[in-house]
Amino acid sequence: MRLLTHNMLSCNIKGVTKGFPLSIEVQRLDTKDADFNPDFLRNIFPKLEWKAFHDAAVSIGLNDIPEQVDPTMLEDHEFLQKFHHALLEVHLEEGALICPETGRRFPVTKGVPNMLLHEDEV
Amino acid sequence: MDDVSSSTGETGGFTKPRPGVEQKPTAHLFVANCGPAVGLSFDVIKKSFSSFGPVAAVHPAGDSGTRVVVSFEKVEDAVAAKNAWNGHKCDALQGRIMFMQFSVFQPPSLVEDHHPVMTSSAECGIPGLQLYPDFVSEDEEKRLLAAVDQLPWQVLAKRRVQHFGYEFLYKSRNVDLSQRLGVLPPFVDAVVERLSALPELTSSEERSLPLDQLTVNEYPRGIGLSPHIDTHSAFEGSIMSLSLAGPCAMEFRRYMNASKEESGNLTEDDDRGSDNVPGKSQMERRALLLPARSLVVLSDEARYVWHHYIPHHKIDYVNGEIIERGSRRVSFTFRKVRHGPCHCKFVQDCDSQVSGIPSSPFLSTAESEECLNSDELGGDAGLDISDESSKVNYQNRGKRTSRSESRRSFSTDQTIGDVGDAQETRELQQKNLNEQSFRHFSHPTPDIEKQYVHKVYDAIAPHFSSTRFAKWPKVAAFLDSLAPGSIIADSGCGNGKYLGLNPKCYFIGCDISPPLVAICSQRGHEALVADALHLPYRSNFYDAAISIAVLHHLSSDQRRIRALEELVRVVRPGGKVLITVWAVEQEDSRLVKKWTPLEGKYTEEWVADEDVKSHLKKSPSSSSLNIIQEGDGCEATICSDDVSTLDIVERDEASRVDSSTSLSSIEEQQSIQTAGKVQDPQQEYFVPWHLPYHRAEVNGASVAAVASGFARKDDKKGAVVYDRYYHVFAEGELERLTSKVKGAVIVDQFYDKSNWCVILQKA
Repeated sequence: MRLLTHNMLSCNIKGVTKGFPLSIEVQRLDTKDADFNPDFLRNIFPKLEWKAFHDAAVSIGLNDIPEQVDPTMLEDHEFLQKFHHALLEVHLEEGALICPETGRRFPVTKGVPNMLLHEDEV
Repeated sequence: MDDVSSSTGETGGFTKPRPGVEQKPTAHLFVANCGPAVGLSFDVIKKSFSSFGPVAAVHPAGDSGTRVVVSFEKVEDAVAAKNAWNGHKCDALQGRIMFMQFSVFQPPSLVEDHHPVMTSSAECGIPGLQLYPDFVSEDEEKRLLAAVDQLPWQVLAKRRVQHFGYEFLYKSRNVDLSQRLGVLPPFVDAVVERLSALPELTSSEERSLPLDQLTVNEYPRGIGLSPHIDTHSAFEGSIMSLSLAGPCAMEFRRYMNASKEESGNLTEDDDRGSDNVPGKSQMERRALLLPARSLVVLSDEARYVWHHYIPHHKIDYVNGEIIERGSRRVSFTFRKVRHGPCHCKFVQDCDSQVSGIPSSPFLSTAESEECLNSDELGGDAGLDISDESSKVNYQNRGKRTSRSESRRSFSTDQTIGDVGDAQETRELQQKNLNEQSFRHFSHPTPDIEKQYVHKVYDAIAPHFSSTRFAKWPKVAAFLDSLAPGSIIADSGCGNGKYLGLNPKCYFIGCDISPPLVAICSQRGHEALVADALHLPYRSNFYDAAISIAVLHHLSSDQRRIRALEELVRVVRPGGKVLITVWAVEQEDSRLVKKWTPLEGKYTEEWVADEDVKSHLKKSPSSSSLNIIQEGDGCEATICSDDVSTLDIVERDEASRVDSSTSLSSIEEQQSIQTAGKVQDPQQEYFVPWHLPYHRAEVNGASVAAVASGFARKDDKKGAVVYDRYYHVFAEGELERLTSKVKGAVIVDQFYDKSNWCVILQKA
């Protein structure tokens, strides 16, 4: 699971009003090369919840993502490289995603989050 | 100026006794929920009330247009009218339920009721309040108004709104951080740039940047805003509001001596005390004229402590002059949503630091349940918790002595007076709830889907996947049509054959079958295990979503609609959703003959019935399987799973099968299928999946499946046979279901290769 995916995930357990962002419990990370595409990064930038992305990056040990950003930074190649790496190349292989409101733990196994809810959670 | 507005704040000199005081009948009836604003002209009102006796006059009570004073010539006629109509549905007046009290005439007070309206923020002397006149030019004003007038408005009770960045949720008076709508629209870029350079924003300790939420409100003439503080926990930093098209006077109120100790609940006591009532609590009031094209900035104390309020007037008095409000006022309110709690120093007004503080001091819990109150600067009013209705609440508590007070309280009305409005509000609230993108769907998955869909795919995943590679051109065309950089959700992605099909887009697949998702992941796709009825995604995020050959595995309309709602929820406004399902009208009638019709509309009990199941399994139609050999040595059944198989069939069987799938063959097939019950074509089927004995997975789950009777062996075909549940769609059915999904419209629909397909666009 990439951090880009993490930025889209929300816990939808019944009654949860702030199921986003999920916190990340890391057991194993992996890094896989991805094609560097600045246009894609610029397109995705406004859709991201930057604070959630930044906090997620920090929580998995990526400390070179700035907390504050503005669109002018998208012209900065060095920033884009870091952004690209954190967003698309680092994968959570084993671990869990934790609902910020309920503490419910969604396991991540072999890179796949299991977001299925139990029957008493829907 | 018309008659009503000329008596702004006045009530024609009549008043209504204080609550608790026994009402002595008079000839004058104060009637709430009645007036021109609810479609009843004074003439009509006069005529209707005349059925009880001569009516001398009908006066407006205040300028709300929803309250009048009906003056009979005789007291007994007023008594009769009140006895007959008070609190009852009145057919003579459009079925409205009116509330009446006796009123007495009082000469106008000499005490000035209103207080001066300032024209500069400095005169107001409220820390953190700043007015910038002429913040935008006339041209800019025109452009901004033209831009929002081209976009769809959300219609509320008395005004219209548009939300950008995040939707402001009136029920919670907050925003949902997981439901970001997107960036602010480009037509405000220039304004945002200037706002961002304001000293209030750049020098503040608290971050107001980047601004990421905009609410545009359009107030018709005479509509104001109920007093409130914007929820502390919802927004941080300064709040800025542009006034366009027309001016208004904004009043600021600070409630003194709030005494939580006494009541334990701010809403109950502290702020209900009226001004001028000495002792327990007092209110400071300042008013500021917001001219058209001006910007008002609320920071610090002005934002966190002072309630802002726009009286429901059509005119404002400023320095002895009458300022007309104009036919409408459009406000653009810019804010930054807050992540996390508020830590302001104004603890007693802070919902993050004191529990149970609603944004308006006038809303009890019950009222806020009933009424959509907004929370916005330049926000709402309209929404029926008007200042008037709230005034009555403190009027009920306060002891009023001066004439001006009793007169002011008279111009107001009790909450129940607005029954019609309250009903309208409830309807709107319901509408609003429906429009909220996320709803819960608390129904467990039926056993038929667990047994005959989920478990089957788990058992056959690798074999299934090995037969699923051909991409259907219509799906590919849809994906290719999306803008580079689009983010696409594939809900029910199976083995992920569409993930990554457009390399310029980012795909996320999900499926309820872990083995299928594992295959996606092994192929390098981003995928997760999730239920299409409970997508684990935040709302309004994706640029597009696809649901290919998924809905026909759901076993009720309710579930199929829910799946559609989830697809619509997760895409952004303007985003598209492609849905394909198997059609009743199969082009190749041979396929249908291999399916096992489920007799009647089964139930879970029905499916659990062993006798029926064994009957189904003995059905001759399920034993005539044809297996074709594919070029790569893999085996695939002719039974199609999704459209791609039909491609294979067409390709591989062209020489053997007459592939001309004419309508007549469809009709013929249907007539066979539905013989004797033409009105009710068979739609519920078990469709077999033949897992060849030599497949490795036969040694695993399938052995147990056969042992438990869940699957069966077909030695003749050399395969373990699984039944998959299908509800195939009749013509028009998918369209009918999608029409029940709010907030999306059908932009394309077609039949292709035995599938019904719809493309939806989110409004």
